[in-house]
Amino acid sequence: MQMAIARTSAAELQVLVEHPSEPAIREYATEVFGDRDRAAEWFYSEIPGLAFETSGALVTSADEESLRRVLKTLIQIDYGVCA
Amino acid sequence: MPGVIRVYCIFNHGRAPNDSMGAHIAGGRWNPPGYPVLYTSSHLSLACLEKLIHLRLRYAWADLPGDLTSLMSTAPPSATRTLIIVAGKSSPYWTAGATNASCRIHQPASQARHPSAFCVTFKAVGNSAAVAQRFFDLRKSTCA
Repeated sequence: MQMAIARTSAAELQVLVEHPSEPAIREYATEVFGDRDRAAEWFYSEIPGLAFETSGALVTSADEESLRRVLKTLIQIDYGVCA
Repeated sequence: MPGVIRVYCIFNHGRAPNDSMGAHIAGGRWNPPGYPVLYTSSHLSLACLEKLIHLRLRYAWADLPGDLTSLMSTAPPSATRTLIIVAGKSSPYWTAGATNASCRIHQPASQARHPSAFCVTFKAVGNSAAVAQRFFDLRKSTCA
């Protein structure tokens, strides 16, 4: 049985966008995709919306802007926003 | 049915269909961060495409969330290019016939590349709980 995952609020996401961190983004990805395995697969795949870069490489780059790119992509997936 | 338009979007479980905060926080194709916009498509397949762009190329179908929700709204009979709708906080459904909202059409050049998409912009009206949604039918406007 799949465990219910608490949803990150918009206010929390706003704070996360301002101060992005890799662990928080990975946690949010788990929330968006429903489980850790699917989130992990997404991090290791080339994503068209990220110019075919892997989100995993971007979040480990320690570059705040790269972290923000991945986070915003996840938010767009979550809310159905056109990129 | 004349005057009725059906729009689609796909969003994840736990998010409301008229929740525009995602675009407000992250920005989107036609809006920078800070502007609440609800993006919808004229067809479910287009809504899927918008989802697939964020997912793995080979296995995108497996990444799609299970929740596919379609939204429908009705257009005023005279409105062929624009539609104003109001969503009150108390109502989970979209309703037609905005009376206290102003509608200003804007069409950035970039929108012309995506004639099949729809864009709804929320705009607060005074202190009212209601929000105005500007609805822009790009397909019709580009064909006009």
